[in-house]
Amino acid sequence: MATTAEKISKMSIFSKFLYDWKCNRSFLLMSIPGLIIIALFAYYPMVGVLTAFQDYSLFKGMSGSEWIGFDNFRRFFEDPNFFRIVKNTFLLGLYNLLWSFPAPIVLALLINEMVHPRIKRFVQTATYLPYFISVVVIVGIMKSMFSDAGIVNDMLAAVDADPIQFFNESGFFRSMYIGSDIWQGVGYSSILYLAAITGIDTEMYDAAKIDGCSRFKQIFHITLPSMRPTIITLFILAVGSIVSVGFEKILLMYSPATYDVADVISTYVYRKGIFDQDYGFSSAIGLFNSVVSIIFLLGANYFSKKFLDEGLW
Amino acid sequence: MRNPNRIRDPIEDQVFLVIVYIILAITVLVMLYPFAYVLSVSISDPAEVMAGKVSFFPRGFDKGAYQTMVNHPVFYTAYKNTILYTAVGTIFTLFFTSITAYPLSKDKFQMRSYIAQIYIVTMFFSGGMIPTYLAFKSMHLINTFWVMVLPGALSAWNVILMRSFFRNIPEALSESAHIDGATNFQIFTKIYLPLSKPILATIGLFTAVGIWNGYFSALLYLNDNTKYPLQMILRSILITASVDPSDKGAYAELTHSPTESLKMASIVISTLPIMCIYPFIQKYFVKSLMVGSIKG
Amino acid sequence: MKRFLVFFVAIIVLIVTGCSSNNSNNNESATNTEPAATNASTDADKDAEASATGAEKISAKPIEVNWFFTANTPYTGDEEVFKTIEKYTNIKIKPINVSRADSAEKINTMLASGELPDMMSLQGGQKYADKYGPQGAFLDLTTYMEAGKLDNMKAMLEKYSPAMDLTRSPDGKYYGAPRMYDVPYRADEVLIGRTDIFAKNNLSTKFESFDDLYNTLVELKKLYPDSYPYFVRWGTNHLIWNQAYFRGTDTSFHLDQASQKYVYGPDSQAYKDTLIFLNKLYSEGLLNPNFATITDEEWNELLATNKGFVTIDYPQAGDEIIQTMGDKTPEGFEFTAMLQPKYNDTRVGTIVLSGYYGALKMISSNSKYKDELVNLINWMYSPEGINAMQFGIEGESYEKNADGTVKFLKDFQTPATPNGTITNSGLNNQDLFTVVNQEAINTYELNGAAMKKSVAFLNENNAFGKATFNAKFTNDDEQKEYGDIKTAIDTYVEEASVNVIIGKQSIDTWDTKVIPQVKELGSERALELINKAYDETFKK
Repeated sequence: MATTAEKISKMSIFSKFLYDWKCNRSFLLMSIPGLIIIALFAYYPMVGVLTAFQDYSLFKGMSGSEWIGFDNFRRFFEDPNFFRIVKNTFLLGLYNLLWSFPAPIVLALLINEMVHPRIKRFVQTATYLPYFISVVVIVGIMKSMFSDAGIVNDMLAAVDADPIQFFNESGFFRSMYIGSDIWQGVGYSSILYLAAITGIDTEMYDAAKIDGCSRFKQIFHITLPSMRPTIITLFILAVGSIVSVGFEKILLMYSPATYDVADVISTYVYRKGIFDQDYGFSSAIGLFNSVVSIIFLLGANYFSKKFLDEGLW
Repeated sequence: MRNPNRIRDPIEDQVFLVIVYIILAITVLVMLYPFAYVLSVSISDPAEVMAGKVSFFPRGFDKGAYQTMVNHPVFYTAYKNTILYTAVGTIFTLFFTSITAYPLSKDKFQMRSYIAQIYIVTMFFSGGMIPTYLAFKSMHLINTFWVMVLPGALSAWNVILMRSFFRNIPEALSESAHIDGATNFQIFTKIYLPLSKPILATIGLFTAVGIWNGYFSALLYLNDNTKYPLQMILRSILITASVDPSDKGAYAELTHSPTESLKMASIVISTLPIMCIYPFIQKYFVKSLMVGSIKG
Repeated sequence: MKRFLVFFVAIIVLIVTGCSSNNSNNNESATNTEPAATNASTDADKDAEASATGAEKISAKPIEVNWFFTANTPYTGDEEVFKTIEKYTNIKIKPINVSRADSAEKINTMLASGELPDMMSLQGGQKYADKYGPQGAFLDLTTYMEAGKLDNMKAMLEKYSPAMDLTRSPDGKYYGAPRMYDVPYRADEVLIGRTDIFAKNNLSTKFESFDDLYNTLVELKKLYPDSYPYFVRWGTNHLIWNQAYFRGTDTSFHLDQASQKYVYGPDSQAYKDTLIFLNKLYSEGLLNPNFATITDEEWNELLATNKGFVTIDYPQAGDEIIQTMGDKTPEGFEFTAMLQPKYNDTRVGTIVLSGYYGALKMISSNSKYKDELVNLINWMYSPEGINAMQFGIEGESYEKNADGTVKFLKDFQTPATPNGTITNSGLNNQDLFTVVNQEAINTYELNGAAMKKSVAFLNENNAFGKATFNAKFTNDDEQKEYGDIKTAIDTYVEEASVNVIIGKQSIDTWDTKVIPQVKELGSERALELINKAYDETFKK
């Protein structure tokens, strides 16, 4: 058997297709609906990426617009804001990764240590809840709580501290952005880790206990190592999306006083594309962003395969 | 699961457990406080809210904010639309995701890794707003019901999750069914789907949340006020446009901004139903913990 | 694997180019001017027939059209204003509207589709008319104007020069119908404050200089230590722009009245003085430090609780706040206009609206009902149409008193009747109406005690200024170039200005760092462009 499998795996894509056509036809058929959907709704619009190389005009359409090569990219690299928005995007993504990535792992470990099933369930429910609300609502709540008369400044006043203009100080922007991200996503993300933990063979814990290993130590010797594949997979994906910080939340949160840390590539693309109708330019920046994400993803996957023997593919 | 009935824990473990519970108690407080705050403000007297007197418990009960919401001209239609988009969109997502993930979970399917690549690319590249719009337009989807439920029906992420779950279902089950003469499709519907309720519930719930909270596709692709979902109404209440001072005469619309109570009431009304679904689905979550690893 | 992926993408591209070439053919035929011209001629034939049969109606047959506009409350089409339009014109309106905050996305995607609603009212519509009109998106109104189909509109625009020049697009044609203020002046934003507190403490509301304003604020801070006497809502630009305006300058490129040339505001002593002044207010606790984010509700509260006394806003707010806050306002509360400080012994006139005001209404070139919509637009400039859009159906929604004032027959909620049960009538809605006349202003705005007092006070002191209009580009590429430079500079300067105000950056860096950077970003080129445009628009 093993030799047949090996043989097949070495075949060309075309012969593999023929093999599937003969032996796994139903699998091929079942793949069709999904492929149609993804072709129509993801790949077909992707052709629009080509507008990055055009002086795109809405009414001339893609076929009528002038091809201008890399002019849009040159404009972007020469843009006075270029350095700042790239730096801000990268730093915001990086800090977000540093804080948002470990948070659900820690939460999953803590929840796993709980011994009362009902309380455990309650804690899980409470931590998932924020995932159900939209970004607009989250920023709305934050603005309400962190305003001058908000509860946070009331608390500061209670300890005789000076009030803080949270939304006006660049120093707080990243913390608030990342903090609210964690608040919203930590419960949801922890599900995947909890899933990994439940897959661990309980006999390993029993054995460790007999060896006199405390619960705290068990985390590092059994639980975390067993979660490794999940952690690595999610880490690679997270690294890949470092530069794709979402614009909607930032648009709702930033002001001129915080542009120096808050203006990122995606907000710039949005302003250029929607308010200045500079579609070609905006596509070019978007494409730049995607290419950088892919490089990060491939890089993370490469290093992970090389040093940790685990990768996405 | 850890066995809770162990005889006695060493003191070190007991201290550790206490710390764990304290940390989690604080976490839960932080998680729930904003919800309590929103609820309190929404039923408080707007004047008390404005004076900054509401921090946890409601002050001066007032249901005016909810009445205003209910009397809103298109509130009911929008609510109905949202429920419809969410229900149909979720069903579509589950159908397309499961039928796509199933072949991808089978080792003997040779095209599997190529097809998977096609999906992974979509996680990183997209066409951008205007090209997407033009594409949808050429498919005659603008201002239709379908534009709200079809384009989001398949995401690479969901396919990966579902595939991992399928891979954990023992191959022996399908082999024995095969021997009994079942086709692959029958194995999928009769064996895999029933065993996959937890992951279906998980993906279904998060898809539903996504559709429920989404407004962007409605904003871009719908033109008819009677087709708008709830989030469009919510946005008009919550988001005040910034003012360009050269835009003179912008006055009338800007000063009539809603009170804080009304904003919070609109949040409660629009968020509560989707949160209420969660407890019914939570039992599946516990089971979906069997997923093991998401890595395939 | 990679090869397969390439193969897959190639197939998709093939399929798509197949589809999109069809598609672009459609687009071409839709935007091509030739078929449109033939359409126009057949329409004209039909018109001739219609007028031959003596039909002078706006629309001979009942029709239904889409109308896009921005409004924070969704309209269903059953509102009083739409009933009125249907009654007078036979045209049933199906509204398409999104909130103001979301309008930019919506407009741009609609334009991208080429399938526009029959009629659109766009804030900043001139920009769209100039850009997309020549490309064939909007109906060219020029021929209709020449054929005498838009006489009411023409008369109104000619009454308020330079409305005609401002409405005309760079290609010499007219694609939209502007909103018009058919009054010598309508008050816009003014310096306004708690006049009752001023009176109680014997403070003058007529500021002779900025030092005078400063000293008054210091005084107020002494009397109310937990207040920030000067405060402004709607963000930083709103704060800085108004202070700069009082000093005869601007936050960006603006027309210098003396030299009749565009200059760059921040490159002036007056602008630096603005920042120095605001920084002084900020550092001494005289300016509310939340100036970037004060919401309407916070603003109301600050006013009503004696935590803010002087601001920039619309005089109408004086009455509205009393309605909103009800008995929460302190005894004797009064919020009315003040005289803005003199700068170098000159007091700049307050901003007013008169004549042309952008916000164009445009008709889609694909609409089935072009002639009817042209008639509808013309009607909106007629006395009957103006009254209908402001007050509803005569005899049913309102009637005129003997002295010419308006008496509503239905229970509308208006500034004059704040407790009306019909909250969303659509009457006097700036996104819908086309003309405001004195009657509308008397009915809707000059009813409240505070508004009346403010306007009387400003009149007494000859404080009202004249309406001003921006230069208009006649060249698309130049407009785009100017826009790009201006956006980059404005973003940079706004940020630097805020930093100076909050003390993060010294004013000394203004000439050494900020202005050189502005020049680097192309301010001189922008000035050259805008001055050329100005000369072309107004001097010819």
